[in-house]
Amino acid sequence: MQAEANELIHQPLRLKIMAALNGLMARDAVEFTRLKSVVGATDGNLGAHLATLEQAGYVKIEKDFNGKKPRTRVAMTSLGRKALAQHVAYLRDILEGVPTSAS
Amino acid sequence: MPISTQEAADTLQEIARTQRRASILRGYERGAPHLILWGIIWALGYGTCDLAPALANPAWLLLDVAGMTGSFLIGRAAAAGKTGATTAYGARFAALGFTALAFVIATYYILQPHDSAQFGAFPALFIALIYTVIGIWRGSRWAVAGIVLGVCTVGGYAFLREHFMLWMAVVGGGTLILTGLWLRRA
Repeated sequence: MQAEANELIHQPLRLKIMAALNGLMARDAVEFTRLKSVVGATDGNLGAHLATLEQAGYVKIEKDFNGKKPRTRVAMTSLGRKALAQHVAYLRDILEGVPTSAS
Repeated sequence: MPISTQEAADTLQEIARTQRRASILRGYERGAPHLILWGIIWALGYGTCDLAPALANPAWLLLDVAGMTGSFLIGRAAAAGKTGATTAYGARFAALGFTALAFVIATYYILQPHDSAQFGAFPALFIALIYTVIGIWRGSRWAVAGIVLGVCTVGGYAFLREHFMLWMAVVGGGTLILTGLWLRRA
């Protein structure tokens, strides 16, 4: 099967978010503040890109309370993992000189 | 969306770098409460060795069991909120504790240390080795903790033999607690 580019994921910050979440185990969630330090983004920027990824069904955002403190946690969905894997395969195809759907 | 070979290579590198960074920070986050717990246990255990040597053996037995139970519960709680795989993760920490304990006991049996300072120094050096090895692969903060712990243990053994247990209670336990706090802030 020919791998395809994913323009939504290819945006630099969204790519970092997806990569960071992909480094976790399946169903593992990471706190918003931790994700922010991993990808090096501001609150607003990270929030906006997470909303885009959530709309696409690539991430799941959960809001709850840890004691009295509000907490936002983000996890990658199986659709997101599949999409990232496909985009990575596409990038590898480019490196290996395999004709891609965009070429 | 045409992507050049160079851009593809850079993007793949960025993905690998971010995944590694996320994984290291996750390791710090998960390891921190264990270090703080064992720092407290060391402070109590080595402190008992110095202040009430007759109670040292039962105290260590009790503290080791408490530490392994605590590690199991911390591991389980961390997994409960995030993966759902609670028991396996907690059990892994408990197994790690039992393995380390079995190794230390077996080494004592074979090498038969002569005095209490040797008894006290060996587990600390073993833990320092483990942290340094973890640090080589999984994040430099672990290595810093291992090296500081190892140097403090050997330094105390060489220059403060009279009060080695007290040294280990304060400096050894303190190093673990401070490292735990440092990892949590990463």
